[in-house]
Parts: sequence; C-alpha cells; structure tokens
Amino acid sequence: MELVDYGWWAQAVRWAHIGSGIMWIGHLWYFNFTQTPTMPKIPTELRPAIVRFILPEALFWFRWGAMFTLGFGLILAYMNGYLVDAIKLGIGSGNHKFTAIGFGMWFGTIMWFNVWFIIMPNQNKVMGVTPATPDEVNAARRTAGLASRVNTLLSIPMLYCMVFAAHYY
Amino acid sequence: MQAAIAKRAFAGFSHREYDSHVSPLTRMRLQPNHKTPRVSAHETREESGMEKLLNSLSGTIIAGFVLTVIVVLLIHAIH
Repeated sequence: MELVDYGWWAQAVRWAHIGSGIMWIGHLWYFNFTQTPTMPKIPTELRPAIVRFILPEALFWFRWGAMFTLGFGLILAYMNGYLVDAIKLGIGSGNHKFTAIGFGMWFGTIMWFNVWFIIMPNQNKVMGVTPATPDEVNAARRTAGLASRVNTLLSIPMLYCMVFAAHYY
Repeated sequence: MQAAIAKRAFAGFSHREYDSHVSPLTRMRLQPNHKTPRVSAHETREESGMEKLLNSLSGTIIAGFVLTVIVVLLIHAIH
C-alpha cells in the first residue's frame, strides 16, 4: 500500500470537512445558545464591545467555516462515489446510507445558503458595514436572528444524518 | 436614570451604532416627545406561530428533534 493513496486523501478531506463543520456549527451554537440569550443581560454601555469586536470576528470564522464545510463535503461525496445518489436522496439506489447522507447534504446546503445570502447581508446592516436606516437595521436584526434559529433547528437532523450515515446505516 | 446612562454611553457613537444597540423601550424613553415614540411597524406587528417557535430556544430544539424523527421515518419509507 502506498503511504499516501486515494483512501488517504479521502480521509484527509473527511478530516477537513469535519474540522470546518465544527468551526461552523460551533459558532452557530455559540450565537444561539450563548450570545443571543445573554445580550439582554449585558449592560447597555458594554454591548458595543460584543457587536463591534466579538461579532465581526465570530462571523468571519462562521461564514468561512460554512463555505469550507460545504466545499470539502461535496469533494468527499464525489471521492466516495455517492454524490449523485445522495443528491437524489438515494431514491432507486436501495441504500439507506445514501438517503441519510442525502438528507444531511440538503439540510447543510440550505443552512449554507442561509449563512451567505440571508444572515451575512443582514448582519452587515446591523454592524454598519452596509449602510441602512435605523428601521432597516431593526428589520435586518430580526431576519438574521430568525435565519440563525432556522439553521439551529436544521443542524439537529443534519448532524443525525451525517453521523448515522457514516456509522449506522 | 437608565435613559441618561444609555445616552452618556453612546455619546461618541454614530446614530446607526447607537440605534442598533438600544432597545425599542429605551429609545422610546430617550425620545424628546414621549407622545410620538419612534417605533417602526415591524416592531409592533404580531409574530406568526413560526416566529414564536423560533424565538424560543427550547422550542427550536424540540422542533429540531421532531424534524429528526420525521427524517428517520422518511429514510425508512423511501426504501
């Protein structure tokens, strides 16, 4: 066996996929389990420290974590030969694994779309990166918050599908 | 008192920064004329059932588990 063969590369991509996924979902859960519920308890004069310093940094790792998770995930599915079957939710394949990983991939893709095309544009308004009126800022905060909660909801079945496809089905 | 503290804390901030960090209630208190509070339409509209669910963290988690059960049933239904 070669030291660095095809299987080694597939495992390296899997490692990168999981690492990026932890970076992404870790930040998602930080926002939803820690930051958002704590914000109302923080004294008003201290809140700018969160919004001006911690939030932009966390959002950087959050959005790029999402991008690399999706990218490495698609490469991994291609290398393992089930990309098309998974996209078709395993219909016609007779294999539970492809259905499970397919559901996980679709949930992950919806979540990635939410991050890049709903959460980030709205958070940019909240942080003042994109010019917006005060009313637009308030609407953007609400929209970004709801999209983030949708992603938290979807992360639960997504993780189930990913883990069980690899270790159960 | 609270309003005065908030006003001092945001003395050096731009209007947008100030606005994004102060709650609608505090903003109402800070208005020079209390009869005309600046509260936009989306702040006063009623939330839909889905929004209420998502605004609750425990509701979101329970919904996530319910969706997981539905997905497991679908996985087995497809084959």
